[in-house]
Amino acid sequence: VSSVARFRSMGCEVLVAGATPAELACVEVLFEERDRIFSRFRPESELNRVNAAGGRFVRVSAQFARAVRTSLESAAATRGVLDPTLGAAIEAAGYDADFSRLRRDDPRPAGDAAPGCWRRVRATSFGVQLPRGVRLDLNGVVKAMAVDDAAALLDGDGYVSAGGDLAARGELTVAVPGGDAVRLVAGGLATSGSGKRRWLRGDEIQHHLIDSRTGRPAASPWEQVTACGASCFAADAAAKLGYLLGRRGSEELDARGIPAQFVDPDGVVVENRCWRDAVAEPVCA
Amino acid sequence: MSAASARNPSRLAAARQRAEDAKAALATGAVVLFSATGLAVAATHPGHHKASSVVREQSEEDADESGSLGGGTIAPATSAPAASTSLS
Repeated sequence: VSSVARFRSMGCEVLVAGATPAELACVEVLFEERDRIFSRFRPESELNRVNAAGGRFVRVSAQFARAVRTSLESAAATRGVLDPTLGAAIEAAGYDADFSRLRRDDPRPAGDAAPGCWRRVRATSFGVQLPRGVRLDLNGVVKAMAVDDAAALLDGDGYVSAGGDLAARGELTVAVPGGDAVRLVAGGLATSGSGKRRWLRGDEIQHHLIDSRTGRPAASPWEQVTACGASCFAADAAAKLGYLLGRRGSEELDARGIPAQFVDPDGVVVENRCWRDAVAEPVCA
Repeated sequence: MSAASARNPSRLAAARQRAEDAKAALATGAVVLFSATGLAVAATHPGHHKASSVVREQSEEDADESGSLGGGTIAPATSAPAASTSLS
């Protein structure tokens, strides 16, 4: 893969490799459109319009309906560990502005916990109704979906990467946390964790990966989890699931056939069985 | 009474009878057609008789665990990394 283009969108750096100028322009438009629809930090975004509806049914665009449907399917598939209704919880933790402008040592305590309630969301192909006071946060889902959609715009070999989420056209060797590298043959790779997006509220460390049961930043033995999914979206969901499930994450992702590696705060790397089997060098007889 | 006028009442009665038969056949056909249409609609659009099925709350039965969160494929690296996945 030769030239790599970079631009910022959705609060992170986006890398695009192997794109023609026309394809790169399309990718930039795609990210800009998704940011305009789903940003928590743009007052005019469709997400903020839905979140402000106060319990009323709101008509939404097809793109918004697709993201809500996908996030609810993800919630169902993980029995609510991944929950799109944690917008109020993440704001209560203090993540209420673009991360580059976020005050990292705010002395005020975190706000009230807001556990998830994805089962109470009513959604159709053209509208969404949230319980009063509930706010969606679709950023994780939307970023990974944008990476998948952008990679599909490339005609030849290349990749699209945004904030740890990566999808490729053709095989690609990818460096992973812990100093190793793997060859991505099919699907996507994603890394999720609390190592970078963290801040203080009232002397307590906060981060953006929320435990849907408590409505507070999750306590996990891992600093970051990398997973390989059937798509970038699947990889991102799996990485978050692995982080949020803590010690059970490795076994859970093995049961789903998802290769994953876990890095703890001391830098110790743990690979699940699927990852070990996939990257093991063949033994010559 | 001539022979011709004697034939008229029976021809009228026969015509009336044919008209009655045609009406009955039409009514039966309409009932059969209506029932068949109803059965076809019910068979091809199950659930549309429930207004609440269009807007529904979510349940774990909606999950497609094998589809949306399936694993991808990795292999040992055979060249230097051209990209990376890391937190940003």
